[in-house]
Amino acid sequence: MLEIKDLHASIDGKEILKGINLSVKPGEVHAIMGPNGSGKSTLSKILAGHPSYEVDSGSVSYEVNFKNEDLLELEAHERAQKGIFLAFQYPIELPGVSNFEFLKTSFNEICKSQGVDELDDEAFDKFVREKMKIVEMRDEFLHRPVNQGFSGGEKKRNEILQMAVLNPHLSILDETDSGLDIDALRVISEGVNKLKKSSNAIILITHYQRLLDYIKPDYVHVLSGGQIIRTGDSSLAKELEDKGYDWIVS
Amino acid sequence: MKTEEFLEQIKSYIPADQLGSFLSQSEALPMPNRKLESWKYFPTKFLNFEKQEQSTTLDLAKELNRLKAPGMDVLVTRNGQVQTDLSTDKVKLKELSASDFQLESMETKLDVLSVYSEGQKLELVMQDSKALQIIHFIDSDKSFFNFKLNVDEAVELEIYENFVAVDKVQAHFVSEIELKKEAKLKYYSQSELSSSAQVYTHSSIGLSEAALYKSVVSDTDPGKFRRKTKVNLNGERAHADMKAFYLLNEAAIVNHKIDVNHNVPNATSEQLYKGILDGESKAIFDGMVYVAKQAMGTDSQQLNKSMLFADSAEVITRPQLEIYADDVACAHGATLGGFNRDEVFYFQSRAIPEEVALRMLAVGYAEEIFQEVENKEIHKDFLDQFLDRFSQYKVDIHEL
Ligand SMILES: Nc1ncnc2c1ncn2[C@@H]1O[C@H](COP(=O)(O)OP(=O)(O)OP(=O)(O)O)[C@@H](O)[C@H]1O
Ligand SMILES: [Mg+2]
Repeated sequence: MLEIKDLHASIDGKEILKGINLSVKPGEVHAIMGPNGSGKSTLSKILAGHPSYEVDSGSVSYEVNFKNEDLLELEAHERAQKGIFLAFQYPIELPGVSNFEFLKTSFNEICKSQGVDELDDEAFDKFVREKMKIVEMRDEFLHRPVNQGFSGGEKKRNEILQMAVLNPHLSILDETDSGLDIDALRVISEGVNKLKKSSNAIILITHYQRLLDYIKPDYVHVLSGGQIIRTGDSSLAKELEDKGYDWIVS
Repeated sequence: MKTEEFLEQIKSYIPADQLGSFLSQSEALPMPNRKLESWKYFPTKFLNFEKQEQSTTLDLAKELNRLKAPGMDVLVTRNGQVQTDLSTDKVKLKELSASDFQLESMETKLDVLSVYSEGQKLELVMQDSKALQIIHFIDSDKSFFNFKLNVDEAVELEIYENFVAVDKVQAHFVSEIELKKEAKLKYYSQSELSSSAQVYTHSSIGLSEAALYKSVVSDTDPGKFRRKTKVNLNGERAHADMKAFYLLNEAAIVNHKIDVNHNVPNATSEQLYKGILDGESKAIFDGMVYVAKQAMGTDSQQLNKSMLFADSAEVITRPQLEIYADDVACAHGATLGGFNRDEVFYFQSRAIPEEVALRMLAVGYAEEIFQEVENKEIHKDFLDQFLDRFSQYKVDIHEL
């Protein structure tokens, strides 16, 4: 469903991604690990379409509904409408915009783009409350401004609520586990597992093996210096946990 | 304008038997002019007292129907005269004379002019009412209106003051409000001014011990509005909480001239003034917080935030502090910005197009002020008026 070929990208003239190759098929879970500053968040934002990053060369093709799209040609909101979802490492606070309004608008924009009827306030309220159960989120969060004053862990939970509402085709979770307490990690991982389907795929960016105990990856990649320098199965994550990155980043 | 010329022009607005008193009271006072600190940024060229022909007439019944807030008593004025037939009778009106106003604290000839003019001078006696909407219709050349209000001990009142003005008018308002011990006043105000309408308000609010003054103001039209507000914190634990929003385009000018005087220990005040500017509009935030020597334990916050949609729009922001006491907590500041790229991207990553995102962010920006309106009907008025006007704005990420 996702085919990244020799992707080079930069910001403000500084090259960050230096030839990424990655292939993701429906139903798969890919974990991306790697040292701080290696380009993991950059890759995720480029896939989601952040306009500040420059793609210098390479290609990304994305298959949805049996149709191949040149992902790099689409605007960020079009990618989201076609099922790409990024859970941010640092979710943004939106003062004055309520979580409910944000989620509803988001959901309805996707409905609109797919030619499906939009939900009114009442119907959406019912719908979203079901989804909140999946991440065990209290009702009060619905009418607070998006992420404003949320604790680190609450913000991450809110990201997964959005994922549950939008039901994405390809989810990229950027360090969703960072900042979660032990119980929250379990709840959210179980939530993600419930949302997993054979037709969908997940890319998990993480520093910790812990998360991968809950959400089993099919592949583990090590991103370092803007390149994927090693790919293995879940045992690679365990090895990294024991030995760190030094032994592969030579 | 020359002083002689000004005096000559304004004579026609002062009853003959008041002229002498006006001249002696105002003798020592200056005309509004750029050299005065308080008039430095507002173009005084608009203050012209020549007679002007007026063509637009407001349909009061229709306008009233549109503006009337449910559940509130209403006092309607037109060009400085109360319209008793359109007002509810719960609020008693007591005639005052010019000398009932605080003439000694007036700063220019203009302030004094209003109370000596032919405009009404009234005390609003709100024994039987807890919530009053005051609607000022302005559709004739020059007009003046003056009122006083006392809020008795531990009484809680709500006032909603609307200004509706057509083109080529100029209106002046003087108001004096006294809050007794533990009194509470929630004051809301909204304006609808046509492009060449000018409205000038001179309000002073005095707070006794543990009194609360809370104001939320919204100006969204292209006219010119100078709101001068003086708050005197005269009792300990008094609190003034002032919020305002402006949405300006064309050649609009909104000038908030604010003086908050902490005259006693342990009083608190807060000002948050925000706005969005487009076209050739201009916002002037000129706020002074004065903390007297004896006012230890003062806590005062003052912040002005603006967003520019066009390089041709202008913001003049002067948050100022003058502190003579020790042991006070005062913060003031100003920010100027556009929309934030990462905020917009967050929306886009959730399938929401940029244009929709920017509109939602702008509403959120205004809501930070509007949410302070506790009355749901008035809150809706503020928001609806904002949305209506804002729908005509072109939004983009304006890089400063
Ligand atoms: N706007 C920017 N301007 C300059 N450099 C940037 C910018 N954004 C990212 N970078 C740089 O790009 C590199 C990769 O950053 P990125 O956030 O992708 O790392 P990461 O792998 O996600 O790290 P972490 O594990 O700490 O989250 C870093 O060196 C970072 O400083
Ligand atoms: Mg990162």
